[in-house]
Amino acid sequence: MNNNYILLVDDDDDDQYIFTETLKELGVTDQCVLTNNGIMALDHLHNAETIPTIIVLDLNLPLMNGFEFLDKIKKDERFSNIPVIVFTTSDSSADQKLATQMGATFITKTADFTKLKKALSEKLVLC
Amino acid sequence: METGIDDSMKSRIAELEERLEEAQQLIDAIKRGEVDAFAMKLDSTSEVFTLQSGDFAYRLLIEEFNEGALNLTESGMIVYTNCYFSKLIKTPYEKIIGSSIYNYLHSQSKEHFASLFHEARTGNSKGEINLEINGTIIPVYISLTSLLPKLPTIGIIITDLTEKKKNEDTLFAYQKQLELKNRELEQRNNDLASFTYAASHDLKEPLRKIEVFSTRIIENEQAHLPVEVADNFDRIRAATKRMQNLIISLLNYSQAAEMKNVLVETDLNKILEEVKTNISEYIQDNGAIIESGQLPVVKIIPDQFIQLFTNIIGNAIKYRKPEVQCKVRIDSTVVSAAHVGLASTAHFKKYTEINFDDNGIGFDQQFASKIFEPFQRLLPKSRYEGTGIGLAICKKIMSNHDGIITAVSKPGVGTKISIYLPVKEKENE
Repeated sequence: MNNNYILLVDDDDDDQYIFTETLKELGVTDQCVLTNNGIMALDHLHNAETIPTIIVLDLNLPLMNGFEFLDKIKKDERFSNIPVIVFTTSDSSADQKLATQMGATFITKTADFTKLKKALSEKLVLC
Repeated sequence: METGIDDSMKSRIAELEERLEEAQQLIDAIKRGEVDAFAMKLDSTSEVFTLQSGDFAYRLLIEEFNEGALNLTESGMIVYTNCYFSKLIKTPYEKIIGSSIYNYLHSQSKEHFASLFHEARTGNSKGEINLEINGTIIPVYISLTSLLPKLPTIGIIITDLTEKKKNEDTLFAYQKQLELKNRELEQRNNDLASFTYAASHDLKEPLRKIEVFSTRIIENEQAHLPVEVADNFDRIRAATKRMQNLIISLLNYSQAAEMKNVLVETDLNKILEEVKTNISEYIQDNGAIIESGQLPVVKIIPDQFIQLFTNIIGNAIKYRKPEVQCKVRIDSTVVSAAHVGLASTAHFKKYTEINFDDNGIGFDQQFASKIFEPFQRLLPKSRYEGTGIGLAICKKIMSNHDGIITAVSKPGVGTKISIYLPVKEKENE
């Protein structure tokens, strides 16, 4: 058991379930911490003893959306280097551009998880 | 003594009678317009009022004028009014003459009038004021002109604005109504935009889940699933995919109606290159060849033209002949409105024609207009994927650009889709 963990920020139960299943399929043994919105995720980051190895972030979230959360962690030097994958139903090029500009990897949620698996593998190897 | 007094009085009476006769003659002469000038005692001084010869015609004209005409002394006393003004304020001529103009002004107009009146002493002035007669307000436009040095008076022409104001009020009411309708329309458009967002996100979302979970079942349980069950799952996935495409197409169709974007001078060669890059995989997978001549630079909404080119080229590839390599040739030329069949109705003399020629399966020409209607399909969806909205979107995009789209086709030979963009005046020059 290691101390590494992945922080998932997504309010959709199904997507949380599919994501944890995807991690299993990838053979990732890191823990997955589930949060429902930007405020919860930020609260977790401020109170956790260690920072996550990677953050997987939805955009359309209640209370504090994905971009607001991303902006806050990029401005905080304690968290600004954590790799972020924006994993969203949005296929808007404007969202993609903004997420990339803010230093995140952008992946649209589809039934095909190849891109997500590839991105997770790359980021997790890097850490 | 008495006789002496009588004689003196008689002489005085005779003198007065003579002067009275003269005065009477003067009044008659004034009435007949035969007097050029007369003197009038005002306060302690005598003022001479001149009626220049030949003015009679002007007096008649002013009298018959369809505007009010007044002549005021410097103190504001009316010494002349024409018939129109008398009728306008429903006051007899005799009562107006010798009265002050201020008697007929609305209380809130008095100050403004005084300032115009003062200004007119050194030239002329004009402005809008309100008259008030027995509680009735009459909006008027007044034009004041000093008649100095010929007369120590100020002439005023008065135009009744009652009808004009009434029309303005009606117009204002219509304008307000129009503004209200516009706001309502804007609100409805916003509601529609919210709906399209809901459609894009909330409707697509459950479908994605159906696709995700059915895919997981097929992939993870493939070995254990009976063939019929696996087949049923495939059908679920295919139907889900179709529904997703349908939603995306509907969204594209509704977005094609938006004219928020402005026309931008764009090189169509670059649009074509971008489309070819976007669908390069599709082109490659189907072994299609896309060729083009030199395309023009035109004023368009670039995003909409990317969609237009994508749909037309996509269709050409989709409806290719299975046994023949798919070829699409894109060329452009400038044609007259008559050539497009728009000579009688078009606002433009010339059109840029862009032709997309393919060697596909083609269709019967009798369906040429039907293919541009939403949800119209000429072939069963089991054979060709699609929602039947692609060409309807193209038609809408061309309509946004004041242009048209046509199709000429022959079964087994191919189809030519032509789009016509008007050559606008400035481009003609």
